[in-house]
Amino acid sequence: MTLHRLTGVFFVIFAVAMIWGVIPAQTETVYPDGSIPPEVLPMFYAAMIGLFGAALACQRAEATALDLRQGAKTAGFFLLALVGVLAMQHVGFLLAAPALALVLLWLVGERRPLWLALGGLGGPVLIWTVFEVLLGRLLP
Amino acid sequence: MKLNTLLKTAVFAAAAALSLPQTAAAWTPEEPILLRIGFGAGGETDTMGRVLAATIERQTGWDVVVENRPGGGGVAMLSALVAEDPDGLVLGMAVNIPPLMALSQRPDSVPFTLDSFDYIGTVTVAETALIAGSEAAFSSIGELVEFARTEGSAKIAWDAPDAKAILQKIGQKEGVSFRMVKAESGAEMNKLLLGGQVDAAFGTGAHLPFVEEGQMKTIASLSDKRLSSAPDVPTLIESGHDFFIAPYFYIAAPGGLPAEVKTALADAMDKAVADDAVQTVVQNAVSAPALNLGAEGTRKMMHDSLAPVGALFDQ
Amino acid sequence: MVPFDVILAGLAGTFTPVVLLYVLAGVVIGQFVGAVPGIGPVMAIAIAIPFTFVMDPLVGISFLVGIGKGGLVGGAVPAVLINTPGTPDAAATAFDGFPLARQGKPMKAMRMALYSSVTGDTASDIILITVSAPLAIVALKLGPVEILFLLLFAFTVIVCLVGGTIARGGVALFLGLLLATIGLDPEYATPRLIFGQTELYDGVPLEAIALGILVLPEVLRRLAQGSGLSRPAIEIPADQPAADRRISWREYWSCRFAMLRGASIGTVLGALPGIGSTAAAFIAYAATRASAKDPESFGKGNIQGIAAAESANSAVVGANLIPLLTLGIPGSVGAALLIGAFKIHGIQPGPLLFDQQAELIYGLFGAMIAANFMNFWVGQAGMRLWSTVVKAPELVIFTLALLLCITGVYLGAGGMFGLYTMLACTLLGLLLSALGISVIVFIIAFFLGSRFETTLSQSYSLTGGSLQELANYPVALALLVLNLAFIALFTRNRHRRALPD
Repeated sequence: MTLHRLTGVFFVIFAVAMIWGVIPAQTETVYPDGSIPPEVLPMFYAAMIGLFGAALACQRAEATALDLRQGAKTAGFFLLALVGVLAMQHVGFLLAAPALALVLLWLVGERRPLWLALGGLGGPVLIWTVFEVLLGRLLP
Repeated sequence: MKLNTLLKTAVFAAAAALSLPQTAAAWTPEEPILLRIGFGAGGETDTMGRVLAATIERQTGWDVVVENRPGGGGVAMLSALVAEDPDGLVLGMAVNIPPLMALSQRPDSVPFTLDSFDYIGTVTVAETALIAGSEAAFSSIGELVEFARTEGSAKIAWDAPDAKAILQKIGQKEGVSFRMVKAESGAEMNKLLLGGQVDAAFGTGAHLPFVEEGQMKTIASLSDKRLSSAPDVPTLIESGHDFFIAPYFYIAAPGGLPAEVKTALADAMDKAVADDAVQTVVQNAVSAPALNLGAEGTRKMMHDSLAPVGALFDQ
Repeated sequence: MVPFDVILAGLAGTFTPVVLLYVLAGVVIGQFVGAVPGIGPVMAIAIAIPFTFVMDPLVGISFLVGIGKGGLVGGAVPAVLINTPGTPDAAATAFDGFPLARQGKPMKAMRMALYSSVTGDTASDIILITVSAPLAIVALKLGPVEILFLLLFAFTVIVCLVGGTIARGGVALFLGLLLATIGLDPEYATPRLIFGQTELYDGVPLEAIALGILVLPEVLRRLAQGSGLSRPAIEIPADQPAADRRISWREYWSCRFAMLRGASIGTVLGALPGIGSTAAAFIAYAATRASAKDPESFGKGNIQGIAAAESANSAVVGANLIPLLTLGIPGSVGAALLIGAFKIHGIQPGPLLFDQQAELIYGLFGAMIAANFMNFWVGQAGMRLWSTVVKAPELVIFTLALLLCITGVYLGAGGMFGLYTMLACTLLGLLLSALGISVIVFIIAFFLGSRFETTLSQSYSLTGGSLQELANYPVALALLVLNLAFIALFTRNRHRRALPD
């Protein structure tokens, strides 16, 4: 089975889950007043996703491969960004942002002190100064 | 405590140490006051809130920082505000209709009740008019009902659910069909009316130039009193339909404020709303005068409005 | 008609040092925030509005318009240099701009973007200044039913031309529309698909989606690719011939049809509220590619593609002011903020504006033309700055871009909640690209989704839900016929016209 067909099957399952699970649970039943009730459009959209997904699953296409190694690395950087954001929530932008930037730069192989200082300290502090001090907007 | 707050506190403490105390108020905040606005940056509520905050800063010497917390017309902001410490350092600005609707229709979905908050005061109450094109065959709510009866239906543009509900109630009572056409703003209601797509619409200020130019007319006031822009036009209540809309812009704090804190905040708010800068910005933003009901008056207004707002949505 | 001496007085108001200085400041700020991923011109305008309260109306509004215009030029810079649009409307610019930059010709790509942006902007400004009143009356006559069919037509064009295959494009379109239904429903104001999060009442924040889908996946991918290598984002050959840095008059002139098409599409879509500059840029790009003799050269660094996209997105913003000034109707988020700014100064945009505030309006027109010139000169200088900035190691740039996205969303989209939403969107963006689903179709569908639902709802109420009443709307039916004809033509002749995703 190619990625192409898998994608189609994935969206069919997604549509089924939306139509019979998520949308009924996450919309309210209203007393109709002559206008379109809230669940109608989400249901229609989900059904169309299922239809196009089914079309995708039935089409023939050349096999394409995912670059798993690259994907895993991207996912790793995503998790780092998530940890960085969590850290901002708890210790604030001024501590978490330079830490996140320094870790990222170190991981991608940056070792030159000038660039580490500029990207890891100068940049975040400048952002903080502009918004928090000059513009009076609160950062986490 | 976050480093940001620590730094700000240090700067503020240094500044406070250098300046002489300005008033003999019973309470002065030792940290910046955070005013959370339940709407996005750049809008009318945001602008009124920022000018109010700046005015309080100027008049009292306190530090008031404004933050935007949009979502559901203030419901999202209030849901978070209720969890804050009642120390007077976190305040919220919202419009009363969305939380009242949430409390009357789905009280379980919001983490607060009316008594979860201490009320500081109101900034203004917006006015709503029922409007039509100046060529329209009707000039009052009664004639609009008759128009709908003879034509089979009348098309009416709306942008606030309470306004929609009022016209639907009137339609039901009179046995006529109103086709209620949703618009996303006052400007869009004007467009639908001028383009001839609808017969009537609601006006919340953006319609006034068109009335002045003679392209539109006001046919009823949806407020509980006559409109400052059209004092000759009767209210719905005067026309025998017992409904009104009174969207108050108000400031609340987490419930359980110490009495002296509440008094100090309410006094500061009262002085600020009386200031020329606030009066001007309120008039420009909502086309209605600034109005502060005071702490007790705001609390009473919220409690008194809950039942009428709920009644609009009963089936 | 406004008396000539009032027009002159208005224009004279523009050419005072303080107005020109603020327009210049606006253009500089706009180009800067447009070029920095994460903080767009819309957010800059929102932050600037409270500051303009104390200014003279002409100064304050010219300043805000300057920011908006500068942002259009700035947004193309990161799209060209690092393949992450500074503003969503520059996403189409990256199609050909980034490949050209990769070939070592970033200055050429940025110049083409600048020239076509200023051209499109100026063209729509001239339309605004000369014929806005009649255009606005035409726009008034297009009611919800007509707009509904116009949106359907736009969806068809975008799915067919940008979405890869129709099945993939269809999935992307309806996913975007589905995401746009999150929040309070338009008719009954009941919460939909919010999973208990009151912050989602107003829907998923635009900034979080735009950055999460268009910028962060690219940033993360590039960080993941780059480990161990410290090279600059763009390498420019040291002995580059001047022709690879410049746009000659001949090259500019060869793009005249692309720019004319872009400016026309942008002006028409800009005068109709709600369609937006991102969709306009893609439609213009796709139309230019479809009518080119060498469609296969698009996506590989063809300056025609840059010219079409940039002239269209810039034309939208000038044309957005047509419904704004004549009727007080905002055509975009930025325009809605401008209305707020007018109101704060006690000026209500609408029919009386040209009578009561003629001097202000002509002053504003003067300021817009001045801003276009300044955009040109500041853009020239800015290009040198940005081409120096991208000589920094690309990983440093991407790290800072990540921090700026975090800052921008925190401030613009409701705090920590906005940040987590942005990260969720990033994950979605990565997943969609891995599955070969066009994120561009997805995001345009999301941007247009709530407008689409509203017009559908309006049309349903206006016709009482009866299809027969559609016969009263001939323009809508004509659009439907056009739409069906387009689908028929496209399915017969798809290989030539479809874009590589």
